[in-house]
Amino acid sequence: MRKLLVTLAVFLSIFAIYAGGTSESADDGNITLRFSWWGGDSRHEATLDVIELYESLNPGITIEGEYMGAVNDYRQKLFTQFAGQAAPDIIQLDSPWMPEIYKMGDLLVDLNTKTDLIDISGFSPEFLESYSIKDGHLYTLPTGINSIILTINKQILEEAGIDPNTVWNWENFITEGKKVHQNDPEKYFFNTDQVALATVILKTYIIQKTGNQFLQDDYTLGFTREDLIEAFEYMNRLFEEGVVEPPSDCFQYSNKFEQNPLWVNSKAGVIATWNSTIMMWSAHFLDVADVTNIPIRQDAKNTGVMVRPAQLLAVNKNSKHVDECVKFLDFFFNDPRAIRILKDSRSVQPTENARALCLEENLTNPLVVKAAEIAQDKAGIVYNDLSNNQEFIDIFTTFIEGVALGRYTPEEGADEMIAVYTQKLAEYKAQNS
Amino acid sequence: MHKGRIKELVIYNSKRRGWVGLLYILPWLLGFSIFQIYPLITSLIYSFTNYSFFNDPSFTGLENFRYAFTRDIDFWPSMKATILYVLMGVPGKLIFALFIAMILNMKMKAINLFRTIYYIPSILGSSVAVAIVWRLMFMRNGTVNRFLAFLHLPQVDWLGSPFAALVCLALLIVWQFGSSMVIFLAGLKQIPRELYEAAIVDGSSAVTRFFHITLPLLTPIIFFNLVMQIIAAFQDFTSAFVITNGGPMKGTYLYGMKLYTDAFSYFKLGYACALSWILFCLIIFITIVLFRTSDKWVFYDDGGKIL
Repeated sequence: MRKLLVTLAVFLSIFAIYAGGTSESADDGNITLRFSWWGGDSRHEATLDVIELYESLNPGITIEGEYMGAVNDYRQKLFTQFAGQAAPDIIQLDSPWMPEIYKMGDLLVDLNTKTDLIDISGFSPEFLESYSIKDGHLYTLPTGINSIILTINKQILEEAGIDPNTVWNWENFITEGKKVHQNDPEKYFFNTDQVALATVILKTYIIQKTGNQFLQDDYTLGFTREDLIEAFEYMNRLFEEGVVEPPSDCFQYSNKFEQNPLWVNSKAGVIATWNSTIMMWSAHFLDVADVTNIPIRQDAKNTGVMVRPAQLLAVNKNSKHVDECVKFLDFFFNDPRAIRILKDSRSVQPTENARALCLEENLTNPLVVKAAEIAQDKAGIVYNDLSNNQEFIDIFTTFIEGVALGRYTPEEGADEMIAVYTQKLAEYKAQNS
Repeated sequence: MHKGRIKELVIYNSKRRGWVGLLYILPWLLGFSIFQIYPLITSLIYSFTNYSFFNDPSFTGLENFRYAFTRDIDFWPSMKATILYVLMGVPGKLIFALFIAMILNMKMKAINLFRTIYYIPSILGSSVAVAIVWRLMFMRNGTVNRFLAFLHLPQVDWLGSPFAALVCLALLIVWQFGSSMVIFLAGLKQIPRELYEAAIVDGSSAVTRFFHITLPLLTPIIFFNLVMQIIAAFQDFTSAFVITNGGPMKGTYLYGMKLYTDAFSYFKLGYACALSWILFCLIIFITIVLFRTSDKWVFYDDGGKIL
């Protein structure tokens, strides 16, 4: 009998182990919400402070922040969580992911059905229409407007005799830019990496010339062999003329060029970045920082300047406490106390009231406001799904490495890359038809 | 007692014991089935489908495998880089581990302290922090190149050329020789002293003693380490992911990294499952070949016929 009891105890304890993970303990009225986002330290701190404030105002609600730095890693984790039905309750998203997220199924709450809990009147209806609404459902709310701009360190430019107010085109970007390195061999004009060269510099270069999507909706190339060769040759000149540090150095900071010692130690004058990241990446020289538009060629058919929501916030449809999530979002976007903490940690505030409050109380860095304004003036094509596709970006990045490091001539690189793109485009076309 | 009754008792007892035993290993059994067997089987099933996060899987037969072998432009380069990596890293690691084990097998003061110190790199394991340190060391003006300059040797652009970057990754696993070293050390301790004493009396040199006593008696340990390290090296991921991110020009795009990218960056889960089964079969094949050839070069005291 005793043996039987012991065995039974063992048996039960085993089941306790495996059952333990799934039990829910919401009986005491406490609610725990998970909120995930990516960003830099300033955004993490501001968001955590808002969470703390919200918790103190709403006893019984706990919000767990799940945050990380690298947006690419965040994307991989989030999509896997969606597939495993383990995604957080409140989710920060990036607008290029939305087509894929919609494809994965009905994952997000239609906020139009929750207008009794959240006030969305402050958001620009046109902006919501372009980026947040699908088939009449409001799935996301933008945290602000984001755009690609150049952040410049005026001091470094002035030391080399460059006018910080220069309007950049691709030619003076080289002829003026090379002065920095000529003036001080330790310094360079432009800090970048192979990924930014692919997604921002060369892609924009090509789009300005052709006026097309980089990859077109009918699964064809939006550029010719000559366009690509020209872009590769332009990139090689950036390296040869000392505008950018040698590729084998800057390529070591793939996807994290803000960590390049050159940038951290103020030995590079310019980066191309999203305006939502100005405060994170330029904190070490803010008093001499300025923003300006990326190079635009005189006869550009399209400026190629990317303007889109900084991020999007959404509520997971699988959340057990959808209403509580929506209430938090209302606080996050509309409550003056939250706005005073968040300020411009996710770019310029998205609602009219919040922007007015920031202006009145001087909460937003004027650089962030200026960046949003000048880029919107020059806003270019809205990238289609294919042009944002990660696999095509990776291929472009690899060929940029190959050409810059001398494995291929620009002609060889263009031929091979077009061959690979053509094969991949055919595969995508077959999958999606 | 009647013979039949004893027999019954024996059967009864063994039946009962088997049942209780199973109960006791149930935690492991459940864990193994849920976290190992179940994913193993599902991944095999998914490898014959076009499963991605965006569509329900439908069976495509051998299409994934055909695609990998014939059309995927990254498959063969990635396979080649991985094999090169294993060929450089594993022998290097074993030779280095054996070398250090021989030194630490000597009678010295504070020998345990040295053994601990030499094991430290392996505790750090394949962690991200070590990989970041490695990247800083092998950068163009990093520690390694400064040291080479100090010795008036030509500097190498370690992370700028595909092959040098691969060497750099292989050096990382060579550096993490600790676990192999400990096993070698245990093996060295097992070799009877008398053999060496007899050899010294016969006037053999240290080199002869190494090649004719140490090495042959150590072959079972070498064999074990070789198999384990090859299996581990084929699946390496962290170093390539953190140090080089697969570059430059995909020169260090190790198979593990390709698999990860296809699965979690491009979300081609079915295809990634197929890739992982290809790797699994390759590792099994190499292991079988090693076992088959082992009776030609592995020496067991007891004849080793159990295998």
